Amino acid sequence: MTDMPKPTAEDIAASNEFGRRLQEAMAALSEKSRLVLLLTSMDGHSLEEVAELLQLPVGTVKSRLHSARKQLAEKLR
Amino acid sequence: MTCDKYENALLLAAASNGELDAKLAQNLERCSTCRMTLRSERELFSRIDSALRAQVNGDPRPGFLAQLRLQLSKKLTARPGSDRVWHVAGAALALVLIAMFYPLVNARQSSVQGNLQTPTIKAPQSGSVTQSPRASEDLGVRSRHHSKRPAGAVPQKPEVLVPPDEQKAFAQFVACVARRDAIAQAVVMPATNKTVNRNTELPQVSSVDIADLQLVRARQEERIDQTGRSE
Repeated sequence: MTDMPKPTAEDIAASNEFGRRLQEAMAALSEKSRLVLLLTSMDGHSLEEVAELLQLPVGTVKSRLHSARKQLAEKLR
Repeated sequence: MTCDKYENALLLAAASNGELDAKLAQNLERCSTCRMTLRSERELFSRIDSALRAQVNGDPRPGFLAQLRLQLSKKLTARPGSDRVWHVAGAALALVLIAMFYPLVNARQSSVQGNLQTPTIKAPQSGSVTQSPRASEDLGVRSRHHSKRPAGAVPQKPEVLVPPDEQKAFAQFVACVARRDAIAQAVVMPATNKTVNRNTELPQVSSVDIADLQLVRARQEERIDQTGRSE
């Protein structure tokens, strides 16, 4: 097992399982983190606009976005 | 310093995709494993972001709208059931309130109707004015303060509510009226029963003298002329 190379991000993205794993990782997020992640992923939405939409400080949005991406990376790594 | 010490810093740098710290940059120049880790982490985050953008901004999958309509229809059909429960609960509450307050309202209406009836005034047994409290008791005259009747009970006799300071005068009045039955009858008797003697017959005239108005004037002028000549 130790001889097998660790799958890289490219290998994971290339696999068909990546989308399903991403969905599972998204479902494991809290609703607040998931909402920030989805809103910031939409085209044409800046962090300031998302903060105004959710009536939150921009720093809070940044913090939630960073935490959500980190959790996703931990599950998809 | 070992590479394990920079592991978290590498992950943070990959996630933030910003400028690297100076010490981390020096470590990356020396350690190829750390460079590979940073590169793979950045690629992972970039894949995540691209996949999220594709999912969020892309067209909905086939059947998504149909599934959404199905869920909406389920929720809309489930809502009237919950409303029905509230309607039943409201109706039950209304019935309980009616059952609680109907006897009180009914008793109050009966009491008011009893007070609105024409009071029957009895003559006191031993009619002396000094026994006016006794007479008032016989006549069913009670004051509000002395009434021990529980709320909601229908009075057997029509009662007259008299303030305490006017009870004595009222009892004297009742005793006085009771001695004069004719006056009492006249006072108590409704106006419709009173008979008024009216002469509805037409006046009869035996004979009527009908004279011409011009003839009367001519006679008056002749009388005036005769009196003028005689003078």
